[in-house]
Amino acid sequence: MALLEVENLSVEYNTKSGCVLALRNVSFSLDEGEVLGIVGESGSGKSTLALALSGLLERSAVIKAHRMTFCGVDLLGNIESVRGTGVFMVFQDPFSSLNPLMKIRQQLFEAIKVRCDRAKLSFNEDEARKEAIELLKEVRITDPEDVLERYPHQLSGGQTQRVMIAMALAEKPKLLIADEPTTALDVITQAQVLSVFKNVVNRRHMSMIFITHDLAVASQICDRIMVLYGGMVQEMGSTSEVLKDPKHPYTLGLIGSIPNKSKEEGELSSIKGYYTTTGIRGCLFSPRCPFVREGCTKGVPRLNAVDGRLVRCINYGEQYE
Amino acid sequence: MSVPKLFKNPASALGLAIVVLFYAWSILEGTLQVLGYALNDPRLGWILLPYNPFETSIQNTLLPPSFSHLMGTDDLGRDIFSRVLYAAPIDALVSVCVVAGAVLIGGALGLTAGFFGGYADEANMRVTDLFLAFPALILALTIEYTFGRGAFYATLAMLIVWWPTYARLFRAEALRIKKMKFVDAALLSGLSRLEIIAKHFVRPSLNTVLSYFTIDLGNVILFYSVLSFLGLGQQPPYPEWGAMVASGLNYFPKWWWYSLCPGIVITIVVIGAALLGDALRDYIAGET
Repeated sequence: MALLEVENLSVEYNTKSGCVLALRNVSFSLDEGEVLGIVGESGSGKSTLALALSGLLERSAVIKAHRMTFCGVDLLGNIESVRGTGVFMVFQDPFSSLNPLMKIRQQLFEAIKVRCDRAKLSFNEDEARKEAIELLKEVRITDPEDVLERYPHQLSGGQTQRVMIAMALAEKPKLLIADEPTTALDVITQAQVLSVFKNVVNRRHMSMIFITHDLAVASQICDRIMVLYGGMVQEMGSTSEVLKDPKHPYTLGLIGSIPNKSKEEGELSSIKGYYTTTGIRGCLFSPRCPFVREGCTKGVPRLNAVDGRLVRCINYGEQYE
Repeated sequence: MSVPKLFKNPASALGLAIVVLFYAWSILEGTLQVLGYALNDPRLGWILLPYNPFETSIQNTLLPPSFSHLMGTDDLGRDIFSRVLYAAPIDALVSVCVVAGAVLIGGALGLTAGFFGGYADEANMRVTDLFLAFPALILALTIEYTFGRGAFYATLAMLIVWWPTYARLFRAEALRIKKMKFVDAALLSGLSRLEIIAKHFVRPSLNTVLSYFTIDLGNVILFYSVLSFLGLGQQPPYPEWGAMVASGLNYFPKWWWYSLCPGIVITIVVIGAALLGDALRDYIAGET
């Protein structure tokens, strides 16, 4: 059975200036030990999806789904019952993800204590200390004893993200959601933190949803990739296939915008136009699509199954929703 | 900025000195007064004072300030300096009770309102608005006229007037902290909402409140002096700064010291608290 099953998830923000549809009928499932990458540009609904899955959406959000289950538990009704054991998140901004007034030790101990309380086990400071040091070693912090006694502002961004991963491990969740965890880091730290993620997920056989706007980053760690545009799934398939043979024009554009190593390869290509989802008839990507044709504006294309992949483009079957 | 460096600024040092002196004296003198009552020997209350603050003397009425009577004497011949010193503890106690009580009530309501948002927030803030809509003095006067006079009722009245400001302050802090991701992380780890408020909201919000708290001690003393000026503080013959200013006004300006000296003492304490609060605010602002 799949760990996480989502069927037709829609999220709407009710603001004073009207409704904004952030996610439209997103369906997917995630198996145990699988890493799913969610790729898209700002505003495509990546973060909303993460927040919806973890139950952290703000009050103005209306969430609808045919089904959203985690280990057989319905997430729509009782998300509280999977707190701690279920989903943990690593956030984009490393500098607000730890309480600035508490030492790392206190925060890690708290996470361990919460887990012990839940399992009705007694909490022992010495054991917690040993465990905290083990966890920090697992995320490749070189001087764990020292880091335990530091405050968050004394850590670098990369260290903070590793501590966050350690916090996540302390909770022993089944699913880790990483919301752009490497975006705020420099390239070298980014690679190191990515390898920590990879390592941890492999060793613990954890599932992970990895959110990023960077296809290159996603390709290094994800088993499958979901491409979001305008809150809709545009393409979904295994990482290697999507990268080797992108079918949706948007995916093609994303791959084209990855900067190349050498300057000689010519101008950096980008997707023309700007991201917008309002006032568009038919395919949301059509105003920016290089292959746009008459049929594109007839209606929103259906998500077609092509070679074991899902693609929302009329080039692979002219069917509409 | 380090703490010692902060008090190199003469104004800050002066504020600290005044506040520390005022509260240290109040604790000492207050303890002696309480002890005096407990042991049924009120003389303990003025063992450190130059004169008995209750002793009247017909020969010594309205003497100007001199070395034997630093602030002169009043219309009944009592030593004003002794009376001012004897009245200090009640002002100190009232100021701490009111501000600490307001921080507790306002903190509990403000933090929960800010954190939970929605209807809880709305209800909370409208009640706060209701209290803030009345002029504070008139509200306090009404409460005291309804329930009774004296320091206890004055404290109660001021508490009712004071907490809404703190509720606002704490709510703003809660809204700021709520945006931090560690709150989301705590939610995900399964901590209950009340635990999160206790663990992650109380301590960070105190930073800002601390300087406001200090300035407010002075404000409460001023407000309490106004109440006692209007005859709503401790009742005579118990000395009270505001009341002394009020009765001295009958003898102003010829016997100016009677009302001016207690007035100056009130001013000094209030300014001291303001200076210290300012210094603390600079310190906190420089720190974050």
